[in-house]
Amino acid sequence: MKTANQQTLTIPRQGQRINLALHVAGVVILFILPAFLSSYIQSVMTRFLIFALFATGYNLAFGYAGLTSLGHAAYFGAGGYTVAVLKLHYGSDLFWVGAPLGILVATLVAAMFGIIALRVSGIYFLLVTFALGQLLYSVAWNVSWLNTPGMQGVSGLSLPTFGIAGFALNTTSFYYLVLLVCLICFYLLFRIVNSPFGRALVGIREGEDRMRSLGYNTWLYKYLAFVISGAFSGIAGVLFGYYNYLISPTHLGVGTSFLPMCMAIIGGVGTLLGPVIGAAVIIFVELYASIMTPERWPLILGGLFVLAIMFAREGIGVYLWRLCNKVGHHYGSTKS
Amino acid sequence: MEQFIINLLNGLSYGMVLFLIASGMSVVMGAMNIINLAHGVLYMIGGYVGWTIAVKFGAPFVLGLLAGGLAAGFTGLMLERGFLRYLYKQPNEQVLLTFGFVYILTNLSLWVWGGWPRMPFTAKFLSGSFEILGRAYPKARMATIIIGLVMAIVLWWLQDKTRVGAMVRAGMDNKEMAMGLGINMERVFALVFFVASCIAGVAGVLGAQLLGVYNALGLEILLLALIVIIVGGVGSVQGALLGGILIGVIDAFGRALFPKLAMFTMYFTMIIILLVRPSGLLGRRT
Amino acid sequence: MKKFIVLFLAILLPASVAFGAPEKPLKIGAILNYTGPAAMLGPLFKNGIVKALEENDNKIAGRPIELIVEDAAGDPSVCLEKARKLVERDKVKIIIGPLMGDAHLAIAPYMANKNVLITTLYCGDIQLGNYRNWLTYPTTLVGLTVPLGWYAHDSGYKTMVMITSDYAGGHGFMKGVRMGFEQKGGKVVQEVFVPVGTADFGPYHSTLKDADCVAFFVPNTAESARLITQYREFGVKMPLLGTTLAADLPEAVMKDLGDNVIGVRGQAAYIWSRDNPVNNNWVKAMEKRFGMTPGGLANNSYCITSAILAALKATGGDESFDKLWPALVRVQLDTPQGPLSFTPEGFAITDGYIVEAKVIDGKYMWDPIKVYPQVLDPRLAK
Repeated sequence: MKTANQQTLTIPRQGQRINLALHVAGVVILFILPAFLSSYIQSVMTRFLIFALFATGYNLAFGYAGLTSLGHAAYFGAGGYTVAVLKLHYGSDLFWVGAPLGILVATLVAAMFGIIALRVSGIYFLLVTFALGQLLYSVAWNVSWLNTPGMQGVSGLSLPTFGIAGFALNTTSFYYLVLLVCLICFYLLFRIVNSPFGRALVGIREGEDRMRSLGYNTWLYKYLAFVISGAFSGIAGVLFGYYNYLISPTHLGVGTSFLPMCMAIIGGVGTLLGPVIGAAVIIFVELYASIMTPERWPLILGGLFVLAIMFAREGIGVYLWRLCNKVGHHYGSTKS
Repeated sequence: MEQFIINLLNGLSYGMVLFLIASGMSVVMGAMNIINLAHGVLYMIGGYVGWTIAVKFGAPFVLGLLAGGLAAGFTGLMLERGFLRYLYKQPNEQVLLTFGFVYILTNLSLWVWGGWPRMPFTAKFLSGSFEILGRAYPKARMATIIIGLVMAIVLWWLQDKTRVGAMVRAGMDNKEMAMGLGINMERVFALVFFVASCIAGVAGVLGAQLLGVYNALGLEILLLALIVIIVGGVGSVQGALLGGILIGVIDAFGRALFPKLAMFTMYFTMIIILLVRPSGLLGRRT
Repeated sequence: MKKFIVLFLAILLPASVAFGAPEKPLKIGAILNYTGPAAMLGPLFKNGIVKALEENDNKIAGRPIELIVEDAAGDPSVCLEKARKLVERDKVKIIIGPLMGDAHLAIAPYMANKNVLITTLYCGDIQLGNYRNWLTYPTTLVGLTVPLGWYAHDSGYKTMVMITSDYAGGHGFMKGVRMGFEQKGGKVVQEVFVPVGTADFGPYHSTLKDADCVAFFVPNTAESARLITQYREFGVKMPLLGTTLAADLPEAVMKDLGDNVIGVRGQAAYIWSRDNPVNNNWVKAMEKRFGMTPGGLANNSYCITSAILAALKATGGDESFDKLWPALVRVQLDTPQGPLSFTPEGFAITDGYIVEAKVIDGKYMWDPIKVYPQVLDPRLAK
């Protein structure tokens, strides 16, 4: 039985057209739909996009390089905390400062942690990344410079400003900003994944010894994948800091590190945009389940995980994609 | 001097609970390469059932231990036979599945036992304290240390000195070879998982003497187990014991001497071990 | 194909159901804990709200009242999500809750310019007064525990050791104890900080210095129980003074603790056995309605809701913030907890009770032994 990691992505020519059509349709929907929805739904969709970015960035290391990290919230939270500290201690919410700085900090943390974590593999890698994430969590909890007085974490964050007089973001325009950033990032990730570098990662995931005997510096490839995925997680974290009005130590800990992993697995690890579907599923199901039944919603979410694993093993995203392919193939064959 | 002994005993008693919590999860990780995130919830179920038997129905504490162990064991068995056995080489799926069960089982426990936590409870003859070097020390903690050591010996004996243990260790190294030798690995695995889950349940009842039982335990215990496994190494009883005792003692002394840094000491130890010996103190090098 | 449809519907249906919502009734939102560490508290708080609403036939000035309850999940980020949902989608003007201190400070900046009345459920930080849209009941963290500090001194204790849970809430509560105690001339000789979620208090109990008394705060039932049990196990003899006792250790839990809890004294915001006609009637009514004796939690939400309803009566059912807030801070009620009024910033002024754990008629209960009337956070009394 093929696991999600082992599946290959051979796209038949017909499928390529369908693939493109699907993607374009998706982007168009994301652009047009929110204009007709309430600001509340817009903010939920913003949240979805942020986590979709987080999960997709994470999947570069997880799905493509086979690095099972349980501590990526460290880089996500690092981005968020940078934004927070800038607001808390310097009163600044300038996007031109916060975003680059946040990405830089997240990348540095990933660079440091990557060196430690990549000394081991397999289950130990998971444990080490978990430990590093928890370490950052306890730092954020205890160091008072990282906390608003009177609480754990930093509150009072707000939507970013651009230093342009008279121009302020609102929920809707922030959504489009996030959408723009996400589209740019997805495009970058697409290029990375389809480059020789990306293909080498898959090769390393499938057989590291083989790649090494071919002369690849596998450690370096894995390290780069790790750091790059950390950087993208940091971008998501920066956006999250602006979106969420608050950042807390939990955003650095294992509770948040689980999310991109679950989203990637549910959506489909072997594809670039599988995690996006996973993010949509988890965020919307969790929200609506907890509104429908404030007491029993964990049963619904947990049940979803179990069902997804037992019946859509390679991920719901892949499942949907195959489905669309089948439909397209059906129409395609009758057309020609 | 007495303070040192008291701190040491505190560390050992807490460490024994940690050992028991981690040992099941570690052995399953090492023998079956299964990541069972629901291990902490099994601990909690054991604790709740033990409470129901020992406190609500007033039965003897030992019966509570037994009931808690079996309840957790059968829950674990259901998990393994019904779901995990289809996911043997797929760690990602295991993570998501067991995490889903954490949500489900935690919420079900909330439904059954309600949100109010259960107070620490112990056997009648273990309540109260006795004197050590002029200071009072709780009997229940002493009992926990002793029981923990006994279980450590039993488990070590099972792992290293019995045929079943040998089969498990063989399967750990090379599953196909072991099967080729006629060993029914499926049954062995189911047995290992069952025993590991039972231990988690017993740990839940023993730990309840110190901690009580409450709904957030499922995730808290998981975190602790992971820390112990990181320090002690995956796959062996000895590793879990060493890791548990080390963490327990460091935590106890850390809290007594540097109360402000308490959370730090545990994570700090973890990181030091990781830098020096990334596969844990007694872990098998991968 | 089937599975796809099922999944699709599973996401879409609830979404469309959640979309439609009528406008006419008066909507009150509540953010309560149904999952997470404080999961058992949600239903209790809801009882208090429901009782207050039912006493008014679920109507005010002819408008039916619609209560929308959301799960806080014990997470400030989730509280913020739910607050946004209540404000932006349901368009409520009144939110009761959330419970946790950092949830307050987390959502306060967001709520600051929304013209929505929002309340605490069990104390809030003094900073909330700056926003002028928070109802802080029964008082600030410090205001709640200052009476305990006074009581310690009034009992003749000169020195004190404090065990403080190391997070913002813990610091806040114990600050009040210290303030009250030192205000009257007492001296705190040691403050031990314990991390949130401490399983093993043994190491701390073994290092306590000698003092006339030990005051403590840990944030929930399980920890309080462990602290007390282990305190006795380690043979520490100094008198124990606790905070938020009746809320953290309700009678059912006291019974489980048994003799270990006898003799513990401390602060409680509300105590059901207080002999007072308003209280006695309310307790009976609550027992009849919900089948259990009410505690401080149900009382808090009841009093808060009653105050809001009284203000709504005064405005003739107008829930717009500019009318509601001035009416609310002028409310004066005789509640089961005691006399209630508010400062202009929205801090409630209530009586503070000192209680002692006793066995009376074979039942474990908190017996009120002293009352400090109309307590105000010393920092507010300028």
